[in-house]
Amino acid sequence: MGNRKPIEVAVIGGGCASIAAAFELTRPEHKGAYHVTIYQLGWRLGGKGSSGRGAAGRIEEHGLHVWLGCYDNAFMLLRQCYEELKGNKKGPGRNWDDFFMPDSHIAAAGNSAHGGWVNWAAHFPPAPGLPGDPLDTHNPFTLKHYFARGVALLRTLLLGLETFRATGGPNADSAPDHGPDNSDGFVARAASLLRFGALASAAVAVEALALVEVALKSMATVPQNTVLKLMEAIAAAVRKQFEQLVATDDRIRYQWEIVDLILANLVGAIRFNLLTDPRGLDAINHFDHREWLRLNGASERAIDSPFTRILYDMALAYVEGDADRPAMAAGVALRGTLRFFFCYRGAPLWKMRAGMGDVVFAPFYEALCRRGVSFKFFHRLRNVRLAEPGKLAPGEKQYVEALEFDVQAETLGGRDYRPLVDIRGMPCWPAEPDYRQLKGGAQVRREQRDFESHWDCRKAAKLELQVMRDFDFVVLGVGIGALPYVCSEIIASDPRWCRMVERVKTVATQAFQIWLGADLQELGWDIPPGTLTSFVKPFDTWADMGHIVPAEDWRDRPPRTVAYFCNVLGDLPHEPEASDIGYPKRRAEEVRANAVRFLNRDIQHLWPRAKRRSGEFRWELLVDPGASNNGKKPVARRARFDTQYWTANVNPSDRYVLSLPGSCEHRISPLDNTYDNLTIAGDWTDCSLNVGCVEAATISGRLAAHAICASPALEDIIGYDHP
Amino acid sequence: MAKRPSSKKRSRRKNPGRNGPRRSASEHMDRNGDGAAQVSKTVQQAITNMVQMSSTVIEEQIRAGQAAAARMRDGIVNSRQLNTDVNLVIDNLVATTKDVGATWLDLLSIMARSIQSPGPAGPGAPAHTGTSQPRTSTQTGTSGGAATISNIKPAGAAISAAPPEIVVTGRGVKKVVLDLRPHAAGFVPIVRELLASGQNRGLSGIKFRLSAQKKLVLMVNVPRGQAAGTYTGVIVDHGTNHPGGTVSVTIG
Repeated sequence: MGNRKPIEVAVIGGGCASIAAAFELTRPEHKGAYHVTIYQLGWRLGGKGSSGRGAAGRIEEHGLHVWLGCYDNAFMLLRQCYEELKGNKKGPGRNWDDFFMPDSHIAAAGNSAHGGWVNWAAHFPPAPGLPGDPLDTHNPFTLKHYFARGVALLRTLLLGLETFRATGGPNADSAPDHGPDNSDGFVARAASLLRFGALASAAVAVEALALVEVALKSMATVPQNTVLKLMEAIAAAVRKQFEQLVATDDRIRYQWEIVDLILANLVGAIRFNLLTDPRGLDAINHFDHREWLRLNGASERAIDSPFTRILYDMALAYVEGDADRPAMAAGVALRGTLRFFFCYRGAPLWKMRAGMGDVVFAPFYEALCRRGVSFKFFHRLRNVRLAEPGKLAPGEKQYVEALEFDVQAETLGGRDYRPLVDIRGMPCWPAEPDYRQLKGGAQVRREQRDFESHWDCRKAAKLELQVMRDFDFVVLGVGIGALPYVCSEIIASDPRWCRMVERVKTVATQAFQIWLGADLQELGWDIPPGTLTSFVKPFDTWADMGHIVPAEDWRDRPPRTVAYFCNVLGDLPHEPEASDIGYPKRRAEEVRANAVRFLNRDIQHLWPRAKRRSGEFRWELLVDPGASNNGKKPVARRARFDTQYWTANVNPSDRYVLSLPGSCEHRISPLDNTYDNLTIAGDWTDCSLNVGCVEAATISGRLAAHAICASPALEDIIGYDHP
Repeated sequence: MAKRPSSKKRSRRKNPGRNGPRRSASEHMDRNGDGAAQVSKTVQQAITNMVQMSSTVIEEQIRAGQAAAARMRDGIVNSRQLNTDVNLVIDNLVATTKDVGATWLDLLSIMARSIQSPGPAGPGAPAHTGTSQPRTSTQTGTSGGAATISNIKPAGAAISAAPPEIVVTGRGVKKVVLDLRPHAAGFVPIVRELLASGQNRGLSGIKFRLSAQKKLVLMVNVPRGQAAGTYTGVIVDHGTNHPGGTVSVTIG
């Protein structure tokens, strides 16, 4: 680079996509060609993945963050970050896998044929490699890999499936406790085995026949129509037999639902020419996933099964947060399924051993600081201003002329804000800003300013950055929900941007966390701790997070386990006024009420021993951090819930992006060069994966870096060229 | 607003080489080292095996399972007693279930392994380096009363793309399908014995020869008394024994 002045890149927002872009642009290989400044609202990085440390060092998240074993780009960058930090430290550094725990246990809840809820659980076999490994070691995108993993998966699902009732222990249908002398028990067991045996032998038959049937139809070189007709007749007969069996037995029903879904996907892949269509799986994105399964012969039972609902719940795919309006583009769903089941390495899920802010964004913050990246906290973007068309030279593309910010707070002496705190030797983000570093910090604290609220517009100053003077390129990494508020000029003048913000919808989310003084077994949950989804709304997803307790700062009587719950939060009929400063608190109060109702009414299906005789939740199970750490008397009864944590993620930039049918084609790629000094980054962009998640955001950030400096090569962005 | 300094030129992004991902699954497989030709051939072979096995094994198992179920139902309803017969039925039922499941999974494992094994692009064979995709040429016709389909998909431009002629002699042949995938110009095809489900005797009178015009011809000679069925087999290179195609003959 020599003495040449570096190119100035302004990165707006500090979420996964922005951080990935900054990490790519400041790689040592670029020899300082790019100087990056990250402008961040409030006091912490992370966007939807930010977390904070509250009372007793408790980790408080936006929601449940579990990384999938197929998040190769995200893991690769994070591992490189950890390596870089280790290399720069004098003492022994920490490894990335000190902070990630493989989780192979996945559960889903569904309605039992006998009433109530029944929980399906499966242990997924370990897969070769670790997420983020170089692809030449274990390339997960090859056909042979799909086949090999497909075999392992089906073996797991069909032969290793177990169902459990909430009353504890395995389903009585499958493993009763009757002794050998109990003839009634033996008869029950025999009857169960009869159903199970009949189903299992028929299930494999149907699966094999269907596979052959589909493949034969697609390959003209094996024209055995007579055999095909025979097989179709057999399949139809066996299907009829199943339908009679599945009505009464949960275990059989679940097995059949899985088989049915696999069949429908195979049939659909052939029927819609997905293996040859140049659009890949995008060719079916105008269908809703369930509608597409229905078109390909899936039964209504399978379409309504927990195994289908898992996808919708994991992707928060409910229009306007309405549980009765699930919607997800079929191609995105199938791509996600393929990658989830067939491309994971190590384990399908990886849980963090501390907050996502602590495990992900604090190390990135430290690594980027060492690379010379500048951070400007408390900067709220107000407007992306374009150059006036009259200023453009002939043939010159439109560009960003200025960035207008509100400075929410200024630091004492104009010093850089130091955002991290130490919790048990780990650099962490606090749940609130360090007011001592702010000008008039005490006053700001008294005013209870909410720096992350869209509706709290109080500010200390304004700032305008100008092209060529303050920046050369812009990476716009805010959430898509914020675009109408900061890019009104572009949206008004550019029909593509207008369509994108209209069609690519988002949804608000809600979450709560409780710290419990009893372990899961004491609560009546007898199978291994894991992640369960497809449960009752509004908190259909639960993850056991007891493993994070050691990372928190409990002194006396630490919790025995921690439970995170989350899902969508329905939109209100009318948007709040821009000046409605109390809106987030009102929505948070709604979440609190939802959580209390959920604990009183629904959690007993998972934790039968967490309720009183009256049916009310045993509030004394909740650990009050004030009592535990400060020796205060614990808060009594239902008010004990107020010592726990809940959140309503209603800020436009916090809203989760959806992949609705017919919407993906309106996404704009970070590679788009309509504005030649601007690129966009976020899981809402056209980044190939096109579903809201850490991996999509990371891919998008890498694409944004490529748009500016042609690095990384598109072929090096893992899975970007996936069908 | 400050005036733009005239001495400095505004930085502009270059247009990227492409604006989106490559989505085609077949291209994707090629890029990741699983040549489509190889996949197609091995999958077809495995599927043929599955058809043969499933038509005999699975139907039989379903019937056995249903019969066992019926017997056991009767036993439960009539006696509700523990007895040796019931235990035996249960054991057989579970064993049947396991056997069928294992058989099917083994089949898929075979498919997976066959895909992993070195294919036509093995040692000594030219790699796919060009960007142009090989195309399949097909010739259909009749010979000796049988329908014939001859496909050829050469791995490179230097290899002849003319589908071999198929000449059928003998009675009862309904269809012959040849799928040839030469991976090098020096590919000399030979056919192993063809096998059919449930038949003890294979079909061995299948040979390649060069015509007077130096064109490749597949000679299918079916001896008298050959049992009906679909006989399939693999074509390999005479020199390297690498597989380079399949042939199937339907009799009866």
